[in-house]
Amino acid sequence: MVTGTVWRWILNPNSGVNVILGNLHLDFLKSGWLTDTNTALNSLGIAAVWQMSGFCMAMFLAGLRGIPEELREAARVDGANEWQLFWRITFPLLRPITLSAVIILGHISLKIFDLVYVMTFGGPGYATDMPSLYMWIATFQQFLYSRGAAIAIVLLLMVAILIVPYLVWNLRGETEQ
Amino acid sequence: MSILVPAAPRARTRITPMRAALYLLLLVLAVFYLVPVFAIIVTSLKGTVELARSTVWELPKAADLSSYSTAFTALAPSFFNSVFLVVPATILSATLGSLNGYVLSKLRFRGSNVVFTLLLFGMFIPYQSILIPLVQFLETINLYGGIPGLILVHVVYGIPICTLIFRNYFATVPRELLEAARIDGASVIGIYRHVMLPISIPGFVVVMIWQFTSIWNEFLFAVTIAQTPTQQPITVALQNLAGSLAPEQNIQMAGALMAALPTLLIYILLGRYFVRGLLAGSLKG
Repeated sequence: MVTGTVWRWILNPNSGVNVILGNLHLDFLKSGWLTDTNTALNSLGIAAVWQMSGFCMAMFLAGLRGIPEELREAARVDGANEWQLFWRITFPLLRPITLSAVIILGHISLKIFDLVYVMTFGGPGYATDMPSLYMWIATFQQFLYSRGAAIAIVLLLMVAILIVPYLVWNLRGETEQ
Repeated sequence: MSILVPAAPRARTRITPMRAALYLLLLVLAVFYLVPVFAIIVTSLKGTVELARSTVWELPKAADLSSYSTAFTALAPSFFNSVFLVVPATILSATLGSLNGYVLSKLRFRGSNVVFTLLLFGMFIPYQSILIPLVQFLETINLYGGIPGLILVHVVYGIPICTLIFRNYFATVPRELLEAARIDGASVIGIYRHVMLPISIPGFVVVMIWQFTSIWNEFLFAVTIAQTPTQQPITVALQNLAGSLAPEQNIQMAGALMAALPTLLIYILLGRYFVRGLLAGSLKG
């Protein structure tokens, strides 16, 4: 909610980042941001990235601390440069965390509601309409309960397609241990 | 450790074009993350005059706290609604989660893995999919419209994530410890109370931070269920502050800061325990 309130102000064409761009004489970068059908979705994306990346960083930080320094040291002794070290050692070891992050953020994004509600309420037009918001409007503003229920089920299926394979994979790992 | 191992010769840090580009990129990203923080603090400290387009990004000439008093008057009741919602919901869901985690990690029964996976799926169910039956159910049991209903919803929705974190936490407790307690004559409940509970404080910290922030920031359930105006949590009140009254931006920003304050404090005070707790296997890959 707070994220939405702040970014709504920053991306307000009259008060926010456009003013900075104007002062820097970068007028060609000015944009309608949230009020323009073409840019609204991407502008919303900027705020969403800002909001969610912190959680991702915490996960990767935890993951990185779990990698023993000896392993990297050994690779360095074998003559690997920093670039190879990252792609051959660090990144493969972070793969489980990366997968978790993608799955968790993926399903959060599918369910995104607050940011859209606060920043655009689906507008302008239907440019930033999302299943979660559509369901809420249909049910609690238009009182089309059956439509709302149908959207809810579609949303559940979308999340299930993403989540069920992950959970099954996880469960299989559990029983093998 | 690093004292015993001689430090590896560091790569020479000459400023190559590559490195310069890297620093530039990092600088841009740092600005990207700091701009909202700057905006919220600077704008909330301004008087109405300085909100003019030309000075909108400049520092305020003098700190003007009037927007804070306005925002506080408008949001204080809902702020305390949120407190009365978050504190019991967090404590209850953490307690239930730790009991579940104990049973699912140490008292393995037939099909306990399946139960656990089903519970995990509960964590991912979109709120919207259960919203209509939920509202009907709350109406039936007369909890629709206020904070008690919201507490119930958040406790139930919090069970999966709390169970997951506690189960992974308890999985690291050696079996011998439980055996010893059992030989000393402790019952299943006794082991939980006298062995598991005292050592699970770090787990509680992680779970409570998580639940506190997610319930505090939650909006969908709040806007749907807390229909009584005097029972609104702060997220709903903040949105209404922006919507219906259309106040100045400085008041909105002060309100937003006020709404973010408890979660910010929690992270500043307990944040390092959170990352440490995540590291302790709470989020397994």
